[in-house]
Amino acid sequence: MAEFEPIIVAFACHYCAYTAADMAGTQRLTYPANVKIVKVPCTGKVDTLHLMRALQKGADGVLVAGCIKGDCHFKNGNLRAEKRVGYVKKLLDSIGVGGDRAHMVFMTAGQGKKFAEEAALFTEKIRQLGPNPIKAGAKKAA
Amino acid sequence: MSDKSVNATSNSVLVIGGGIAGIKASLDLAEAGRKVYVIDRSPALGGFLPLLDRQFPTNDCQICFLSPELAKSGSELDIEVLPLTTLTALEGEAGAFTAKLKSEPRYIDLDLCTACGECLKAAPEGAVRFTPGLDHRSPTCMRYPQAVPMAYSIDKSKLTGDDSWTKCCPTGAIKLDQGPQDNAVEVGAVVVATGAELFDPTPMQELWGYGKFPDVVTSLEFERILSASGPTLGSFNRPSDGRRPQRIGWIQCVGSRTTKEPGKLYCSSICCMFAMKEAAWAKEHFADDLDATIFFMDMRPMGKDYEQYYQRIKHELGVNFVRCRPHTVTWDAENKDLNLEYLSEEGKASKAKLDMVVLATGFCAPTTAQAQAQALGIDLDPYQFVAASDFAPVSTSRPGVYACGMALGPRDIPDSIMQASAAAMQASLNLAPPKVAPFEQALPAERDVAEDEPKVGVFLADFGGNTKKVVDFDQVLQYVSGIKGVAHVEELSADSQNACLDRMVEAIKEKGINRVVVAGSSPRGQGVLFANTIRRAGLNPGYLEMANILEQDAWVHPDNAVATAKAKDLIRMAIGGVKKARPIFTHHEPLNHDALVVGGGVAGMSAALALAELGLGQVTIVERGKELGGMARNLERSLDGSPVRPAVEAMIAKVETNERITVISDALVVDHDGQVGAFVTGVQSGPGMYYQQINHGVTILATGAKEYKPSEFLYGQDPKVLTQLEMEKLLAKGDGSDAALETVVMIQCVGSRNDANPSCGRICCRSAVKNALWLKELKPEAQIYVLYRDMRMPYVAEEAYRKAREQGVLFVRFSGDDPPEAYQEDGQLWVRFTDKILERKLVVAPSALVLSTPQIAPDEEIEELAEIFRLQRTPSGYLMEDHVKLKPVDSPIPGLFLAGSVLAPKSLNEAQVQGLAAAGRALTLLARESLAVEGGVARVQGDMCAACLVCVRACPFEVPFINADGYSQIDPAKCQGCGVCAAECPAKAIQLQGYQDDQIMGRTDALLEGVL
Repeated sequence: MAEFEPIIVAFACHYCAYTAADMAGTQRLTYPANVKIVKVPCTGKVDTLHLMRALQKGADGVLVAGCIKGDCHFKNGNLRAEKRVGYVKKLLDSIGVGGDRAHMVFMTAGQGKKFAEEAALFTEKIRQLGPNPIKAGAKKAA
Repeated sequence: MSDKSVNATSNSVLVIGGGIAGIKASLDLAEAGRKVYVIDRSPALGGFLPLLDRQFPTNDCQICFLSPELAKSGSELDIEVLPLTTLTALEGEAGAFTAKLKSEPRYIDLDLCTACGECLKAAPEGAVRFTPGLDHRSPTCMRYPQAVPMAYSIDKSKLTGDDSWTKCCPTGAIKLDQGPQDNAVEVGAVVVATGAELFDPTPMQELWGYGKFPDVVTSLEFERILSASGPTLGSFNRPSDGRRPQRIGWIQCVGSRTTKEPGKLYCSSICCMFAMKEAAWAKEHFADDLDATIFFMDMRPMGKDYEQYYQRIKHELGVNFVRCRPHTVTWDAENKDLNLEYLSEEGKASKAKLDMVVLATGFCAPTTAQAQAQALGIDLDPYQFVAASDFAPVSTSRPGVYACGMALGPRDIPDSIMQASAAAMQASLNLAPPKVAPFEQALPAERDVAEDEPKVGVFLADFGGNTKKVVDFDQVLQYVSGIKGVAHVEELSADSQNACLDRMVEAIKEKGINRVVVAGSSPRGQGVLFANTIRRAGLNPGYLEMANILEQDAWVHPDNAVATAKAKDLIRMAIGGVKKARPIFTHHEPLNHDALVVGGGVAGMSAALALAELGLGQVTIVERGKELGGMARNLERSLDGSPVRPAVEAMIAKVETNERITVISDALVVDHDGQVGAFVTGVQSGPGMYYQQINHGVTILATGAKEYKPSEFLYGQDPKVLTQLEMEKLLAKGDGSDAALETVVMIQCVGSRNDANPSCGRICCRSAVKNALWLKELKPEAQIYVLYRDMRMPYVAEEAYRKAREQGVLFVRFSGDDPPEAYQEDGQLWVRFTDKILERKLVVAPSALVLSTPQIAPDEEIEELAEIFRLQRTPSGYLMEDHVKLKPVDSPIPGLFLAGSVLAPKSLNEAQVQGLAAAGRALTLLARESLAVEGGVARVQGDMCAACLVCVRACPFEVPFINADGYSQIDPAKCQGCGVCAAECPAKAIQLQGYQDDQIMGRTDALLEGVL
């Protein structure tokens, strides 16, 4: 079997993290292609449902990337997102998927380097964790 | 106040300088439907701001707030940016100027440059500029990702003879043979926002060691060291040996408040604040154990609530403050220490050992100021800043030419922004009446495709050819055409971008496409462009999704196979999302062009006059008192000695005779309802409390402050104890014969900077110096003592302070914990105070004891206003603005603006600036026929709502409320579109347009298709 290539969904806010990801591009800073970005206006828009749905459908990790604390364009959406990610982690632990598969990071619009680093770190972490157990379950059921 | 030329036909304005003031003026003018040309000497807009890591007092990064606005200036509005350009002559007159411009070559063709960065790698070190000013290899503008224009420029002096590297440019945009270009534009008015330069401390090397000792840096350099994207990449090291500094000293007033050439006499006004910000930021984020000390003469934090910032930094963060006269920095080679020698407040020679010294350098006029003034035909003040006067605070000596920001002398961002809005307002008065543009453009009707089976058109847009180098387009095209629901796939390849867009419109129409995916560069840059394009094809912009296969694919994954695979994934995701898309409608609501101004003081009258002169609608002033004029009626002269009364009376006369202004005096606002464009306000007036309702589209609150009546220092008990306003009345008698004027003691900060009122009164220092000088003029032999804590005299007010000292006025400092005392003994009034230099108590028997009392927020009045207009108050009791820095006269409520002392104590000059600024901000709304309410907002599905109040509590902007039908309602005009409510809503009754749950999950579902 080929090496496990995790699928990672990153929810990135328009004002900071998505811009940082663009900056990573402008600076040609590479990071694993496993990370696929979904743009949201604010991480405060990222719903528990979105994170759970992605994992349910077979994503191996979900990353939420928002503005640094105190600098949220919408005042405190990033802090709300942080709480929700915390909640999702507990939920994942309790159902055996593992809370480490959800993670939140904070950065400014200019921190392309930070985006690339966080994307690489999280991908590596998920690689260590191995495939989302839901996949094995689905295969068994089939 | 106005120099409106009656027959003005021009709709254009030239803004000189693209710093924050110039940008703000441009945005205000463009939002009001004007054509704006912005010229700047440098290759990109931004001025100082992009170089700063954080800004006081919020300690946030304002470029993050400004850059979306800047990007806006690159797209929707009619703003033409001309970088590397200067003005050579201004011909004609107000309303019809011809501005002659000269553009230096950029050596890069802006139409061709795609900001791909290839040249950055290929060119000789330092030759290609991307960031404003600083080295691109430690790029500041990594905090500043949206440079406008988003393109590079070349510094030809850094080039060697070998130009072969220029072939690296994929679009052939490098044109080393470009020469300067002359150009002329026709404009009705000019706004000068040319800013200032930082004082260069190199000539004072003997004193401060700058340039000699590597660990002596300027405050701007220190800012770069603190910055995560600065030269040290966020690690906190000193330049000489890379060691983490433990002891840092800031030296204030370097190049300011000095008679030593080339230093300046004036106060640079903002250095106290930025030194504190740097000290706080360094301590908070890098080294809690850092020994940070600010060496200063007077601390001058004078803006709104800045005093509280000072106290917080001193007492909560533990930054040390040493009041002294710093004079020399030396280097101890053995310990590698810097020594700062200074004269303590008590006059003793002292020394401090430091690892690093930061020079809080002041500002001076740009070196080009004189040439520029000559080209413009305007006067400068003695320090080469643009000259203006207290009663025409943003007007230059030439009608039709206005100035704002640091061009008028050093000032902070909020002041610059206010002046920019005020200058934009003044400029408007020289232009043709704003065209209230009808909103229907020549666009085809939108097709209703909501219920249609999705027919997705996918377009690959690789303008510049950067994506194709890595991503295999043939493979992608083939793959995408096989995805369910895709009706058409095409690579847009034509000679010009416009031809590509035309082709897209054609294809959409031809193939009956009802959903569109564009795969190309970031939607942040080109989203608006493509949204407008599909609208031209009769599709609602909501039916567009973008796949970012450049910045987030081709540029980060150099491997062809990897990048191509990811491009397929990203496009599949976008298709999954766009299939669930729904239209996002912008609708239009009627707009009442009348304005209501509450408060008839100088700020309110300035606003009313400006709006009335523009003639878009009627203006009603509601004044609580019986007469107009407000606090200014009590003033006799300004700091420079010019009389106030005639100017105020002239202003009142202009208001009273203006046909478009109605004044309701002796009146109170009692109720208020509606929203921007359609407010209804109830007013009661006269002895009979006659009630009437006023319909208006915008509101300006300018109700002012009140004078603090002291209970301290025997005021009201001894007739010799007066306030500064009472003293002013006495002086206005004009002969100086009053016995009270023999020996005058003034006490500063009475009723301010204490527990009951922690704010600084801002203008009381200037009032005291004004009255002291006036008294000296009437009676040179008068004995005057001014007992003060810090003399706060911004910019040229410092000169008046110097003059007062020269004329023998004695300034004696006291500490907050050792205030002077006033007492009566043997029927005589006495004042006792400590003299720090003599180190003993002194006693004086004054003929008058004058208390410098602040303006304070009238508690009940403001509480009432806040309740009626649903506004927030600051802890100091004043009304709160939308953003203290960037939106200083906007309230959080659209259509409601604030001006004057209702925000914080203001001088006459500042009150007018704020009045004009508020009018200017209002104009950005009024210069339209109707109000466009943008889509992209949260919508509630009423029958699903349980009225649980979660959204009401979660909204960061307090927009949702439970309506009469018992469910949550969100006003689309107020919603900012963050989607927090939608995410929190337990019933999922709220959906954010453009980011509905099924759209977001449509993307992830598409990505994960077939994984399980």
